[in-house]
Amino acid sequence: MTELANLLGLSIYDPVFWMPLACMAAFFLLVLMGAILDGFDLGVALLLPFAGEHRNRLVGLLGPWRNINEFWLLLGIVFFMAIFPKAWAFIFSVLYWPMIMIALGVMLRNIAYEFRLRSSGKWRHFWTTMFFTGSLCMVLGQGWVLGKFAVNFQEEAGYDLFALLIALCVVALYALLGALWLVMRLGASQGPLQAMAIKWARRTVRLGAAGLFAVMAALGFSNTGIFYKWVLFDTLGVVLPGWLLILSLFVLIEILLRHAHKSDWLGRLPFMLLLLVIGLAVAGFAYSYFPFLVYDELSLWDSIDSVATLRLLVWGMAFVLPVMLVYFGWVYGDIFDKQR
Amino acid sequence: MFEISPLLLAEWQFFGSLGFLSVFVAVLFASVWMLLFLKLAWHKTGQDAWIGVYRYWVRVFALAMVVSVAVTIPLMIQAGTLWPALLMKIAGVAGPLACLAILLAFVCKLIFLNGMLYRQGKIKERWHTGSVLMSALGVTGIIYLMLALQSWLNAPQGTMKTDSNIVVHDWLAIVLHHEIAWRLLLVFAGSSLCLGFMMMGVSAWQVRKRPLSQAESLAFRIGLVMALYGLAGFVLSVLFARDTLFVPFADNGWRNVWWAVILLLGIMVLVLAMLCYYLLGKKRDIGKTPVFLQKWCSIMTFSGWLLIVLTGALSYFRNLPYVVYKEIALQEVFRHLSTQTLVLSSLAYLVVYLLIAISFTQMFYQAARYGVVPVRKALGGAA
Repeated sequence: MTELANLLGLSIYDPVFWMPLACMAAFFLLVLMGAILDGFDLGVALLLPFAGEHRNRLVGLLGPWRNINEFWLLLGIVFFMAIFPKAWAFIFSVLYWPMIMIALGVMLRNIAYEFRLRSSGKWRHFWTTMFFTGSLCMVLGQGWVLGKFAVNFQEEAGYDLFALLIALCVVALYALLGALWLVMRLGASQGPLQAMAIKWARRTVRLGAAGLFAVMAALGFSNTGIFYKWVLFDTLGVVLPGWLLILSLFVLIEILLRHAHKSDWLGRLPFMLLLLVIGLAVAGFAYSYFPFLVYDELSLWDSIDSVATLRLLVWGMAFVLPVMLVYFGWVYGDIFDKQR
Repeated sequence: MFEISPLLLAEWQFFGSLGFLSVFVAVLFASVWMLLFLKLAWHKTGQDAWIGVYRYWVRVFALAMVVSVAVTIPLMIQAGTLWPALLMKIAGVAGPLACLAILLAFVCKLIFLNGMLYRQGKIKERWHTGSVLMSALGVTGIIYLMLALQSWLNAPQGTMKTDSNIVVHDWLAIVLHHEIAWRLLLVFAGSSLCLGFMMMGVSAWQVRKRPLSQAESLAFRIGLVMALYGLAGFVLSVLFARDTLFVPFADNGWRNVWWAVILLLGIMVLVLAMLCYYLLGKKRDIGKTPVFLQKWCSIMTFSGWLLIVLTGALSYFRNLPYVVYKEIALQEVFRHLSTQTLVLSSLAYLVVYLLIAISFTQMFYQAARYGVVPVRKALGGAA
């Protein structure tokens, strides 16, 4: 850190240096929380077409968190815009269609859930389908964005195809998250539905793992700087075990899924392991990109508007963050519990 | 062959989303204050008719809120995809204001709106009324922040333009902008007018199907009062702040829109005058008024939506070709996209907006016809 500060000609105690870092850390925390907490919600929605008569039950399970989950994306977008407007301008200008997909998806999804609650008969069925469609659009859009990030926004057709492939794998990853959450939430006592969730999880786990590794591989091979960062003697000792750890966690999840129905504790473990995988992946992504937001183009410090704006936002965060964390603790307190 | 510039298409796409959001925000704004009034009136008089009106209109409020939150995200995304350089230049002003508005919406929705919508009967009545009051204040606060941004775009003050961006040197000049009072009056008046006509329209529609309950008759009278108040406020703000808020009438390109607004307001005044004649005179019941008037009222149910979109256009396009008046032109922040891309994405948005508008209307009438069916969420209660 001191080295980096010196390189920028700043002291590590200088707000110009640490404020963008603090904001970036808060933003990554927001992304991680959104990926997990809105992620299982998205994942369950993706499984709806396969749930048959259990559809209503699955949508009902999401009820306690829907109000809060629909805010994650909005918070993320506005926060990113406020702290890193220059990176925002660059990223949004090169991601037109993925962003349109996310916009349409999030709108359909939020509307469909609420309208579904207030409908009956064929309309209820229609809104359930829309809830699935919106979720699929949103996940495909997010996967597309991730794919474009991995290939450093290169525009050639081959890269776009790769980004679309990543998007499909991200669908599998979200579905896996949703299925594992269901396995945990339903518990061993709710046999048939839990068995279905285990089956979905086993079908998606390999595709999800493939997607994650494809993103990591693309990240390294499309960006020379990141590749060198990984293979340096000092960092290889962290990067390689990190990759192996993620791989073994996926293998462990697959093994545990065979025994998940035996006890509630075993049913809970795969979901926890996947959270660890997501945490590691987000941390790895942040580490690889650091200190850039757009690789080799815009660093954290290039992307801010002014320190005065950041100061205002940091003060705001200092007030709001504790309240939010207490509230999240209260609302999400029973997310890991078995449904009673 | 007919050609249209991508910039114009982008402007209309963005305005389409903004107009769509404005309509639901207007319903949200007026209804939350009306719901507070209904609760206070119920506490004071103890008459069940007040709470009967509350039960129906809290459903409309809940639906408007759902749509408003859902449409805000695409609007933010559109701002980024169509005008990426704009937010880069004005981030010093727009970033903190938008962040504060979203955080306020977050806190307001999660704490007070949940209490208001899903906790009635489960918490003490005075706490519930308190949550309605806090929701009203929260919604007003969010709208105030957005109006502060709009006022600043219209007449920048408290900032300095540097080579690359705009730097704030006086936040008070922005949050206490001289135009905000007029804009707030205009928004509140427009929202009241919009909700007033919706209330009268739905009661008039109900009376043609069956005899009205006491609550439905009361809803009509409240709607009439709201529409009258809204009309007065609207005319006042148009008369005294026309040059500040809207495209000049003399502008040839916009004269037709001005005439459409005047025509619509004229029809509204006519309907309101006839209603006042009948309802404030000998017959104090909508059921006893002539059938043609009931029909007119039902036809005019969503006329407020049209008024909001038209006045929104007059206000939104006032600054053109600038986006920040005399400082940043829209052309310089536009990301050049092809016409086909913009047409395709506009069509996709249009389909979703139409679906939402039709479903909202269908639910509005369904609840009016068969009554409000309580929504059971895991949080419990009804909305």
